[in-house]
Amino acid sequence: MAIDRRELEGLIPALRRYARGLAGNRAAADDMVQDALLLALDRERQFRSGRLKPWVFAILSNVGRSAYRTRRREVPAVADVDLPDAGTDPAMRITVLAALSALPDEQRQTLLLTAVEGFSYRETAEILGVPIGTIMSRLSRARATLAERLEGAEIVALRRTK
Amino acid sequence: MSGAEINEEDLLAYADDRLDATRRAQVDAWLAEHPEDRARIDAWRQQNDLLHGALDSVAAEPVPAQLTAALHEKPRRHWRGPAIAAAIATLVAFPVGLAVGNYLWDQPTRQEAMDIATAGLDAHKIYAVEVRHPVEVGADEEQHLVTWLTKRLDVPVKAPDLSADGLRLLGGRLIPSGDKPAALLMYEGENGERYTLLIERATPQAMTAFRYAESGNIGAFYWIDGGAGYALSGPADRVRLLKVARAVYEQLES
Repeated sequence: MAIDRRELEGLIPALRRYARGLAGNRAAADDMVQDALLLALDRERQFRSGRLKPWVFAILSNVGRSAYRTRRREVPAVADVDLPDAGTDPAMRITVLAALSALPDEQRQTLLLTAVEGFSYRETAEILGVPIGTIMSRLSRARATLAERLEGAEIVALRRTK
Repeated sequence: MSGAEINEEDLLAYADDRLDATRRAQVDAWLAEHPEDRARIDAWRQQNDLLHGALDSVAAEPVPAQLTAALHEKPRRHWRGPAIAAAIATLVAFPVGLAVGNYLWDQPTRQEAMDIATAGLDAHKIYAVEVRHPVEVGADEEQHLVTWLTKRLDVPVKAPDLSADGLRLLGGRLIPSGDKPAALLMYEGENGERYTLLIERATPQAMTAFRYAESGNIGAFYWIDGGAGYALSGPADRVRLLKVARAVYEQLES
């Protein structure tokens, strides 16, 4: 089934956000999104029906599993820097992204898909190809780890919301 | 209270607003008597706020041009079609199978692209500082320059016009990149800042996205496309470098 290009294009901002949470770094995140988009187009005949969004997020979840992390480890001599984001408290961003990066991949994916991307638990289970009980236990562990890591960042967070 | 059994999953779903009204009321009743669970839920909700605060700005950014461009390309032309098709054919449509990522960036392509980036950064460091002899053949002989380099590299060499980005062509030279010949074109901006574009022959089927590398205060965007590898190096101002790299890419594509 052909994919609606415009619909796919409309998903890019959310895909970039998800990828940034996974990779923690702008360049690697956009590489992931680009490869996911190309892969989605390449396999569009495999898209049966239903919603495009979870299908593309599933592809991006898979893309994020290996290639980009190993690439960065292999090339220590070449540094990859991030541009500052406008409009966000950089210290808070760094703290949160660092706490996220401490999570195992599958917990990070689960947390981002539910808490940030707003997928239901069932959709998240389908995207990641695991039972819903697994999603719940990953979520529970991810939240416990984050809570430990973010304890010191609480003040910053409160100040931000005021 | 209702006496309903409340478990961890209910608490998580409550924090994420995923419960129906009935269940939510039951959890409310539970929380009235269990302040420690109330505190956990508050902490989880704050995590959600923090995550949104750290990441939502990404979704609000303008989408980088190369991502929109990716949608309008004909990917099959560039892709290692058979290998990917075979890999995909073994996967069910949804959910996606494992390890797709490995096919996207196979090790040889990754290595090839990295070698191009390294060659570009090295060449830039050596030649961009040259005051009197930055190039072998000057821009006044541009036609000769590109004909000569095309012949030596055995890939089409064009000198993109970067005047829209405030850069004028100084000229170019032939340099070694590993055991291969490469072209190095040099541009200069109004403040004397220099950009170099390295071009060399690459594996015909290989294709990469734009990648960024940095060494010292020099940055490079590099990519492989259509049988050639490119590295655009210049001062490590990524915003400007990317803009120039896109201009190069667009002109080389046409």
